Amino acid sequence: MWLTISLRNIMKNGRRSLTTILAIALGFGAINIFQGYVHSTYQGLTNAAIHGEALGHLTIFKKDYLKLGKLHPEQYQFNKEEVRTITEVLRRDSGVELVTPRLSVAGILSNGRNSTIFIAEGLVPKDDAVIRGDLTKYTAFNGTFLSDQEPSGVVLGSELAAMLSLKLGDDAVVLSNSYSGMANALDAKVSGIYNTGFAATNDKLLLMTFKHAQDLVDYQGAERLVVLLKDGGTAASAAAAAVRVKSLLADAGIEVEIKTWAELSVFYNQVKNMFDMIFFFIFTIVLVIVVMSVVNTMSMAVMERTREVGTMRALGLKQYGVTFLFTTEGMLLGLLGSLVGAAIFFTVYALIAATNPTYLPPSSSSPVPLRVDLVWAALTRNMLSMLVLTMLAAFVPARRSARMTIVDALGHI
Amino acid sequence: MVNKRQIIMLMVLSFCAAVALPVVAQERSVKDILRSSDRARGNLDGIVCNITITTNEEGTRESRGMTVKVKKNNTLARFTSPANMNDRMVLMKDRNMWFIRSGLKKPVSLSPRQKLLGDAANGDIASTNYVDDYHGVLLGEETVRGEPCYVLDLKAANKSVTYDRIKYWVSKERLVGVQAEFYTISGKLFKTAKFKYDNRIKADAQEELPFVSELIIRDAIQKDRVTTMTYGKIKIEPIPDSAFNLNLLVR
Repeated sequence: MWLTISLRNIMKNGRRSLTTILAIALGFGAINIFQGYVHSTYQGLTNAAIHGEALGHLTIFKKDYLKLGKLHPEQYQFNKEEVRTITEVLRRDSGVELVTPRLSVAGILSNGRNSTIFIAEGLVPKDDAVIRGDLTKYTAFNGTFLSDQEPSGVVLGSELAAMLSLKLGDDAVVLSNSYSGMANALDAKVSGIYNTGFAATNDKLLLMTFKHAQDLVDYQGAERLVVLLKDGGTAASAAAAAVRVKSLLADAGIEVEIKTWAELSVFYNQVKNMFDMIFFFIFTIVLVIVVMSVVNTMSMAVMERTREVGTMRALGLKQYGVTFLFTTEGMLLGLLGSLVGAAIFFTVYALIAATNPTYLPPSSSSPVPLRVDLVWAALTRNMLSMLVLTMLAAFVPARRSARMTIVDALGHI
Repeated sequence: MVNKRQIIMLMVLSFCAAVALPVVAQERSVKDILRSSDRARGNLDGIVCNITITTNEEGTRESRGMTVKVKKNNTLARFTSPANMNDRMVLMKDRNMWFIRSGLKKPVSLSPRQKLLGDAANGDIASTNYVDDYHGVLLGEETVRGEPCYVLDLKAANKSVTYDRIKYWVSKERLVGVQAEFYTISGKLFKTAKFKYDNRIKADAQEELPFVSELIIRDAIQKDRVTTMTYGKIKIEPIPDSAFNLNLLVR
C-alpha cells in the first residue's frame, strides 16, 4: 500500500520527479563510468607490469642482492646449483605455474663501424613466451622473437636499431665485461626489432637468450628467478605468495628476498600513485556534486509539499507515516534514477566498445586504448549507496516537515 | 813554438769537450738503459712464456693463465686457465690489440689501457718498447731496496701506448727496471709496480740475460688491491711472422 501511494505521488509530481530522477541518473552514470575507467586503467597497469614488463608475479633475489648485488655481482647471485634447487622446490609447489632464471647485462653493441651502449635482459625464450604472451602480436614488432634454437639472436629496441642502422638479419657484436672485469665479446644476430613503448628504454633495450648472457659475462648461474603464480594478479595475493615461497626456500637452505610485481614495477607504482591522487580528487568532486544535487532536489521536493504533509497529518497520518511515505518515495526515485543511470552507463560502455578510442599517455611511444570496464560488483554497490543516499535525502526534510504542528504545516507557503 | 795563447785555447777547447761529451754520452745512455730494460721484459726476437695473473680484491682471489708468444713488437696471448677460456686470444700487432674467440666472426678491437684483470692492463702482457714509445729523461739516481738505480722520466711519444707517463727506476748494475710508477695524462699516480728478474735466458747463444719473473702491481687509489703477474717456462724459440697474422687467427 505504501508503495502504491508513493508511486502515485511520484507520478503526480511528474516534473519534480523527473528532475530528481535525472539528477540521480546523471550522478549515478557519471560515477560508474568514471569508476569503470579507473578500473580498466588499473587493470591495464597490472597487466603491463606482470606480462608487459615480464616481471611475472614474484622475483626471487639472493638475500641482500638489492643492496649490494650491483657492486659484487658474483657474491649475490645464484650459482648453478642454487638455481637448480630453487627451480625444483618451486616446481613441486601447487601454486606455482612457472619458474624461470634471468640475467641482466649491460655493455656495448657494435655494428662493426660504430657502437653504443645497451642494457640487456637475458631470458629463456620458451618461458618468456608464457609470461609475456606473444610479443610479436604487439603492434610494433618486426621480425621474430628470441628462440631457443637461435641462442645468439637478439631483439632490439627500435631506436637502438635505428642508431646503428641495424636491420633484421644483420650481424652485430655485443661487448661486455665478465664479473672480474675482463673484456668479452660475442656475435649477435638481429632477429627482432620492436618499439618498447617507453622512450627511455627504446634506445637501449636489448633482449638476448639466457645462455647468451651467461656466456657474455662468464657466469653459469642466474641473477634472479621470476615466478608466475596461478593466482597472483593482485598486490595482496602476490605478497602472500611471496611470504610462502620465502619460507619454502629457507627450508631448502637458500636465503632469499622476494619482491612482488607491485613492488618492482616502478612504472606501476608511479602511475598508480598518480592516478590514485587524481581519481581521489575527481571522485570526491563528483560525489559531492551528486550528493548535493540529490539532497537539494529531494529536500526541495519535500519542502514544497509541506501543505500536503499538513493535510495528510490532519487526516490522521502519524508522524512516522509521513516520514515513511517520503522515504519510500525517495527510495523509488533512487531506484528509477539508478536504472536510468545504469542505462546511461551501458550506452557509453557500448559506444566505447564499438569505436575503440585510443590516446597517447606520457612516456609512452605507442597509443593505448581508452576503455571503461564493467564491474558488476561496483555497479550494485553504487546502486545500494544511491538508494541509501536518496532515502536519507528524503528522510531528513520529511521528518522536519512531519514534526511541524499541523496548523503551521497547513499554512506553510 | 807553442805560445801562451794556443795553450789557453787548447785548455778551453778541451774543457768544452769535457763538458759536452758526458752530455752526449748521457743522451745515448738513456736509450741504452731503456733498450736493456726492454729486453729483460720481452723485447726479443722470439720467445714463448707462460704468464699467470693473480689479483686479490676485498678478500677474493682471481687468476688467469695464458701462453704468450712474443716477437719484438708483436705479442700473441692464448688463455689457458680457467679452462673455458682456452678459445680466447689477445693479439698485439703493431701496437693494435685484438680480442679473438670462438663465437666471434670478426676480432674485436681492444685498448691496451683497458683492464685485463685486477690492475694488469691489456698492454701489460705485451713486450715493452719504452726505448721507441717514450721520450726518456734522466732525472737522477736513487737507491731502491739497496740497489742504486737510474731514475728516468718517460713521457709517451705516441697515443697508442699503454701509459702516458712512467717514472722508471732502472738498476745501474743489472740494467733492468726494478720499480715503476704509472701516471695519467693529468699527472695523477694511479698504480705502481715492482719487478723481479729471477728468470734467465740465453739470447743468440750469448751470455745469460736476466728476464722478468714477477710483476707486483699495486693500485694507488684502491690501496688494498694487488695484482701479480708471474712469468714462467721461458723458451727462446723462433716464431714465424705468420703466427701474428690476424686473418689466420680468426677461424
